[in-house]
Amino acid sequence: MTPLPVVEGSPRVRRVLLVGNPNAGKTSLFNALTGLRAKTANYPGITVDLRKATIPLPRHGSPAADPSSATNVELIDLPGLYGMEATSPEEQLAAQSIRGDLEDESDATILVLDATNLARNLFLAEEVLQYPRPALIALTMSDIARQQGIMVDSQKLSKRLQCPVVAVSSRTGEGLNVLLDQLTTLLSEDHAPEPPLRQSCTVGCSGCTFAARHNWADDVTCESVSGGESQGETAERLDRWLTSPVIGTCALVAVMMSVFFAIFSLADIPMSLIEEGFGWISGRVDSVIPETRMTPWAWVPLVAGLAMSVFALGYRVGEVSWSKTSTVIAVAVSVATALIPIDDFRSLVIDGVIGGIAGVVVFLPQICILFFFIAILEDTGYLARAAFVMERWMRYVGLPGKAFVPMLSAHACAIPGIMATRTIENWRDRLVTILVLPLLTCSARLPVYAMMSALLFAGRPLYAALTFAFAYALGLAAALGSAFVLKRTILPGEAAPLVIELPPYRIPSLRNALLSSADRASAFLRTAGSVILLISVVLWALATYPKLSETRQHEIVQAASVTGASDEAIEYAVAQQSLENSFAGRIGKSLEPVFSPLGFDWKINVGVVSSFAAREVLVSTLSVIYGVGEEGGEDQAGLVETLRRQTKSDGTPVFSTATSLSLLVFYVLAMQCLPTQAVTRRETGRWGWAIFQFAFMTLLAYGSALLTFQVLSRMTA
Amino acid sequence: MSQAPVDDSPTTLEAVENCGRTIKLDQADPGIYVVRHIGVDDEHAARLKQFGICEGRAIRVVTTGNPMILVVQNTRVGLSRVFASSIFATKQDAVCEGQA
Repeated sequence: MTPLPVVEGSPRVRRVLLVGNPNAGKTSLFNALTGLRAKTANYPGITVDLRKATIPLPRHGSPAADPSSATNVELIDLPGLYGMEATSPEEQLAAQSIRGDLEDESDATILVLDATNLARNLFLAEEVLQYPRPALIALTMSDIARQQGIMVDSQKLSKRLQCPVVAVSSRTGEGLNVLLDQLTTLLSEDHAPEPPLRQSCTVGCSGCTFAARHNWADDVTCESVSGGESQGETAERLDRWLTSPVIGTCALVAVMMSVFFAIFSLADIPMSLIEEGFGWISGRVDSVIPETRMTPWAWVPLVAGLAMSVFALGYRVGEVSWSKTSTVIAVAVSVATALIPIDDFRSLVIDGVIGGIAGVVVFLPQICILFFFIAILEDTGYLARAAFVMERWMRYVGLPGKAFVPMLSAHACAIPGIMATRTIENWRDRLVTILVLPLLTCSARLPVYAMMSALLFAGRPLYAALTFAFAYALGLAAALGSAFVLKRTILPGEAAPLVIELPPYRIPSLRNALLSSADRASAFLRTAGSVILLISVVLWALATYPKLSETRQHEIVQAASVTGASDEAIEYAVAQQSLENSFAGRIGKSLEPVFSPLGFDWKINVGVVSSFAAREVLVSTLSVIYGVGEEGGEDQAGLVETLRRQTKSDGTPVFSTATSLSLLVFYVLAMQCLPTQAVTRRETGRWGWAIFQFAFMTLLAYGSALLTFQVLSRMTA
Repeated sequence: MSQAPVDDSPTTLEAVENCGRTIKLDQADPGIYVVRHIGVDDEHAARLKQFGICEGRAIRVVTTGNPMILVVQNTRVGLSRVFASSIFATKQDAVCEGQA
């Protein structure tokens, strides 16, 4: 072992790597040691997320309970890996960190070994311990090992591995203080242990070095472990059912249905509360903003300062650095915000900013619940079986079984789904999965599906439910079909063959599941939040400017007053005309030749344009443009009734069966989500793939909607 | 069906196939086998070997089919047929002379 780096007077926080096999209990140990201190971060230039946390270590010889004597270390939870010959980007990052190839130097390694399966884990240990960095072994799941009758002799193991070994249990907290104490000793500046004889077992080996390492691992295990020979029977019994082609597939469908049922039933209340909460905030903000602008000397600096604060917060959350460009944008937009008329400012804050944030936050409950269940399923060991079962079916379209989890996640939101593709080792498989994921029905499509099914089959809930099911099935079929085509055209090649560990079945940890869902929720907010906020503001500007002239507004008010319309109706008549006059309205009209073969009129086109960045916006846009009234956005029945009454100049309904189905098909298949595009760019490293994704989905949506409308309108003619 | 990139160097394959009781793993019944040869490219071979599926080591076939389940070093591993068809193994009670 090399002497420990002495950092006299240096403020640098010592870094400690947490290294181990997947399923070795590494993340559970990280969670047990760090709790809510953890945050997700990247190495510069690398997209792989790493969980890090700074934790206090008691100084050597000081009581652990004395916080004043603590020194901080940064604990880094590296992605799990089986060996240093890494294949996926996550494993490569872990291997690079262990080798010390990255800029961020680390000071020690905690090597996590599963006490219930030591031989398997020692293969990686043999390689990791070759690197000249102080190391400490955390023997996880010691309590489970004891229950299984497995006795690990820590002293013998420590002697063979030439480093301290601490038996721990993340579940019970056993050994965690001892582990931290040992880490303090390892990192103490005056601690200078003798260099251990960590010569590789493969030195001088003329045969297979892998076999030599495995033999060494077996040898060390035989020497330090006793008992536990009869384990694995439960897994064998359960696997007989859960991985069988028929029962396993039925079980998977049942599990998926239960998860979806839980998501949609449990998320309903928090989503309503969030909507109400943002409604309340909008009301409060509306009452705070004065009716008329105060003196410019006070107003301009105040508003510009507030706008800069919002930018600062947005940049911090989205991890955007203050470069020359980002600073110019922030300053220019802040000044422009301070100069616009007071009514526009009110609309910008309430509709653009608060509405934009609400549009993201409202999906958080679904995402949290989804990831809670995914973490539970992963902890139980079932998720690996699900990938195993899906391997049989996914292979027909050229996708690996591991694409199953991203596809499951994409049914809540494509963004976490795309981020979950990192577990797919083969780049081509990963890219195809990313490209087709947004075709799966995400939560944002649900308001559109609800509106269209009510429009098509009012009072016939069975048919409305079948419409929903059809939309889901169409999205799934389109995703699988697109994968099949992509794998035979621009990204040729079969999916990488499956080799996957089926971990033992275990009781899941509630704490892990909660921390995991909190982590995913924060990643979602960081990734999507800042982008969608910016897009909301841009779309607000498109739908607001140019403004109607005073004369025109006066004419509309007078015309409405003559008919005895209420104040509310007059207000919405103005809003309708303003939208028609805006850039969004003009774009909608100019797109008539493009979308009329799909049965869309210019008003629907405005909906398509305004929901370009977020598809759920279609419902609120249609409610404004068809003059439903303020409650139209929330009152589905009112909106649907109004839409049903709309007629063309020849008296036929605008929302005929053909048009309604065409619009539904378009929204099932169209991209219409800019934050997803931003994440595709981030994960693929190129805008080219994001543009390709947008282009192929839009063409698919257009072609399918065209076919739907043309066939149905001829059939019903 | 896709094919894993195969290392089909004649000398290695000949040696393995000359042992009459050596079979491809996708044809194996449940039981304990000793791996004789892994006929995939280096990258895929490294993946398999990290899991303990490497020459000279014992594995247990638990369920057959595609994918199949093996127990390797006390760990259950799911393996697709594409890989299994490139792994040559001998049933433990039928080891060829000179290959044990």
